Amino acid sequence: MPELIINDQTVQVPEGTNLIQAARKLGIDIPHFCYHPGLSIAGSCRMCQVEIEQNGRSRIDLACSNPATDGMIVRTDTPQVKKIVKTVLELLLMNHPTDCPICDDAGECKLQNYYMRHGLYDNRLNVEKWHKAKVYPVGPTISLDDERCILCGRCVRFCGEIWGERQLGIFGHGSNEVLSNFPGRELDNPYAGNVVDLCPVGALTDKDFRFKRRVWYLKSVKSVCNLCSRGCNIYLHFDVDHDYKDPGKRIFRVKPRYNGGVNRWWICDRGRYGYSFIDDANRALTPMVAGKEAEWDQALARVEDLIKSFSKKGNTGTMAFLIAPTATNEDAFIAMKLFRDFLKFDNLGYDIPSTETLQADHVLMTDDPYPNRKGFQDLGVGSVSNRMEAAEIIAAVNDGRIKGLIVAGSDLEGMSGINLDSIITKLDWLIVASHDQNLLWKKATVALPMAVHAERTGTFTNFKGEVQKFEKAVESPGMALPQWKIWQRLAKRFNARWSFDDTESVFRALAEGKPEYDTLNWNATFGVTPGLYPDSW
Amino acid sequence: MPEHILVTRNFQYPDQPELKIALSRGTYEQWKRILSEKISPEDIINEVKTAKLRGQGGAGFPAGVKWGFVPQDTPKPKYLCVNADEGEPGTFKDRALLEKDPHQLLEGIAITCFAVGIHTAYIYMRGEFYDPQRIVQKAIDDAKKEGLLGKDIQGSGFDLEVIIHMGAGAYICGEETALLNSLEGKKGWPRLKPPFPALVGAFGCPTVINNVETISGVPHIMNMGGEAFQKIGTENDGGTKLFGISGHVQKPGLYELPMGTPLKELVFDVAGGVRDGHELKAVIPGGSSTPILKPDELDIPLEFEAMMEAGTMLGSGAAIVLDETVSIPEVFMVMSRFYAHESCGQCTPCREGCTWIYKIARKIYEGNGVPADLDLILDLAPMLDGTTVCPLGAALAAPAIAIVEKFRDEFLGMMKN
Ligand SMILES: Cc1cc2nc3c(=O)[nH]c(=O)nc-3n(C[C@H](O)[C@H](O)[C@H](O)COP(=O)(O)O)c2cc1C
Ligand code: SF4
Ligand code: SF4
Repeated sequence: MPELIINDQTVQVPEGTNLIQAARKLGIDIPHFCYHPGLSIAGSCRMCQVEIEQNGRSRIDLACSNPATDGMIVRTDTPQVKKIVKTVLELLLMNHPTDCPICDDAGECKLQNYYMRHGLYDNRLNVEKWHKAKVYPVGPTISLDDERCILCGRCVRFCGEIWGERQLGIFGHGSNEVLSNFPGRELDNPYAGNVVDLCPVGALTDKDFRFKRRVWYLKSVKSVCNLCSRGCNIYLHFDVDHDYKDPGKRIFRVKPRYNGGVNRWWICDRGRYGYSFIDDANRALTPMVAGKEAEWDQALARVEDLIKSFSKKGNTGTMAFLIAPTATNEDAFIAMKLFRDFLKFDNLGYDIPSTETLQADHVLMTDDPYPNRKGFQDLGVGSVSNRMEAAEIIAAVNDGRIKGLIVAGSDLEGMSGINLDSIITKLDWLIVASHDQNLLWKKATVALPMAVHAERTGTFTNFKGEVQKFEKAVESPGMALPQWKIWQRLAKRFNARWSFDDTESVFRALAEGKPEYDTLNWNATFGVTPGLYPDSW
Repeated sequence: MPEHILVTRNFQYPDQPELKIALSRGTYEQWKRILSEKISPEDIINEVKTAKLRGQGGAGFPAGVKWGFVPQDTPKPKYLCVNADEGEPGTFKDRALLEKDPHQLLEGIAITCFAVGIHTAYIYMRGEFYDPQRIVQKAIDDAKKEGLLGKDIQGSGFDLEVIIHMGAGAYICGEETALLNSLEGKKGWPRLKPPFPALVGAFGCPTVINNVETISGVPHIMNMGGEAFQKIGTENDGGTKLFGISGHVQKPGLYELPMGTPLKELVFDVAGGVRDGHELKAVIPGGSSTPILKPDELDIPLEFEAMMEAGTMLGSGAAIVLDETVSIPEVFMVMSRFYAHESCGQCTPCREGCTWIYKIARKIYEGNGVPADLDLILDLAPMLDGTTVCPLGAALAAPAIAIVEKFRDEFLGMMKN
């Protein structure tokens, strides 16, 4: 491991670490625009210059393209370095429109931040600025402002290197250069949104977020995407304190959170833009009994009665419980404790075909739209002796073998050849737990509103077996509850001996004897994050 | 014929591009001798090192040393790229070498490739060079038919393919790594170094890049021996150099002179001094990227180090002579416009800095300047030098500083107050 000195502080870093990374280890931020650890080194913005003393010779060079070597002495604070940094910044800002008041990136813009940290010069511009394209639709989801672009090429490299097709390019030369679409191509790929995060300025903005909120109004929690089995680490950015546009909108955007083993710096557009269900008008807010709004006690009492009416007669075999693997480990654990172990349901299933078919790709996306199939398998939801495929349960409903059905987290719409109306007529009762008023909701004997992942804490286990915790961003609407709490309340009604008060104790119980689970440091990932992008580059 | 006439010795014969004629005048003799006498590649490289042959494209890097950087034991193919982009304003020497003596260049290419173990050579030619392209292509075809290039040359088992690649007119594509990108079909953006082309060059393989004039000198080194070649020039700069002198002199043109000839001699004796009835105002000694000199600064030997010590550069040897009819602020405006336009746009200091300097120069030229504009240039220009991927930023910065410092009064004279 090379050991080097940066601004008089000694640091050891792994072989091949560049000077920007090495400095960051010491808490020293070397300003940069074009460098990003997930992309190839361009070395073109020229912002990260430092003084490097190596083998007795001193030079000014880039921190991004120079690997740390043993005995290197680096300074980021000499008058010459400071002057270069300041001048590069001045030159970038020279033709910049500084339309910060109407720019979405204001507040998380490198030009702004670096000006405050390294600039603070008086304007010397004595000539006219350039004018370039302002609101240019580079793709269906993203808008380009070429005057704001500093030509760092991050977006170009992302498309070419990560997605694999050059959809953007830098055209022309000299300061006539512009960023634009590669001829005949749109910025249209399943990962396109990442260029907005990569763009160090407000040149590429998300149409989904444009003019929705000033970023400093947003709060942020660490979460995990629940739209495929990769479980990309994300931040949920939310604001419940300001009413400006879109009344009722609380979640404003999803941003990737670095996790080297899962998603690196990226997320797919499905995950990025797929959050609108959270604040949807169709959310389920109140428990329903026979189509009428009810209190939780009334609703759960009704559920208790329905189950008891079967089990008393010894008819546990005519009841089935279906739970979609969108549920967390905690949900599945309590559900199994109740339905499998305590109420002795004979028929348990989770293999509910989704309405979405995904195609795995070379970046992140897997072919499984469920975030927690692996967790279900680990917890034994998948290995119960009488586990039934969802399709078998529905077949059993159709031929009258099952008369009471509980469905959590799905409306079964993805199942082929299913006729919901005919199923309902075959059942004595149907209990539905759902976050939205789905196709089954109105037909249910009892309907129970659930919180979504943004409204609660919990864990998913991704397809590689990584147990990942996510945090609560906002309160659940109306009377909705996390699924495990619904089943815990129901268990109480049945006088189950066990009781859990909070998610952590459920997690501790399910993690027992499972090293992959037990090693998750529950508290480490907790707390609202200071700043929106603590790990941004 | 004076002893120091080497690469231009056959310029006087219009039929020199004909292979038969060239052969009759001794071209390819060294190439054939190397093959028949089985002279080793190391011996050739050593001869070129002894000759102190400097790169003639502008930077003056010793050619033999550069060749020595190429790894011998690599499993990858190696390439030679002959830089025939000749974009430096004022320069017109490579075109002459290509048109008037293409076989001399091909012999130089063959010897260089043999010395470094290369089997494919590219000649990267400036896009506007239609005639040179035609002439050199015919020379390649003829030499191939004659068994001087191509497969199993002269029964030696050595293969060499020479391919002309035409550029598209960007000045920056003369910079060696932009040239490589352009050759590979990419945008002509200079590459970050290291790695240097000797290790990672064309198509990721070890590559030698040399100017047309550098390569054209190689057969003469093999002919006369490295030591004799060196002795023509100076201690560190062997042989001769082509000087293209243009502007307000009596006899503008291309002259081959020994390295170390005083600049004064070039301007006043060789080129006959300033045209009649006029006065010398300034000399830009080695192409527009070299800092301007005033009449009293011309007593410098034309060699790389001495010119650097004098605060300018030998560059491509293209001297531009200006008399008193020339407006220096106009020269500066035109010059900076060129660099602002030709910056590849990759690096912030060059892309924005050259443009800013140009816009200020234009503002001054149009009569809207203020004295503070000059100070801004002097403060800004050093920030373009040494802070970028390639030296294009520096190619404007150093001349800008020199011109503003040396002709400050003339700039101030253009300002209203
Ligand atoms: C902006 C720029 C333009 C250049 N243009 C040319 C050119 O047109 N021809 C050339 O031979 N070298 C040119 N060079 C120099 C090359 O980068 C390189 O040093 C040269 O080709 C090496 O050959 P030599 O060692 O034989 O001179 C240029 C360099 C720069 C920075
Ligand atoms: S749009 Fe943004 S990311 Fe792309 S080159 Fe411009 S500044 Fe860089
Ligand atoms: S210095 Fe100028 S020409 Fe050279 S790489 Fe940078 S931007 Fe391009």
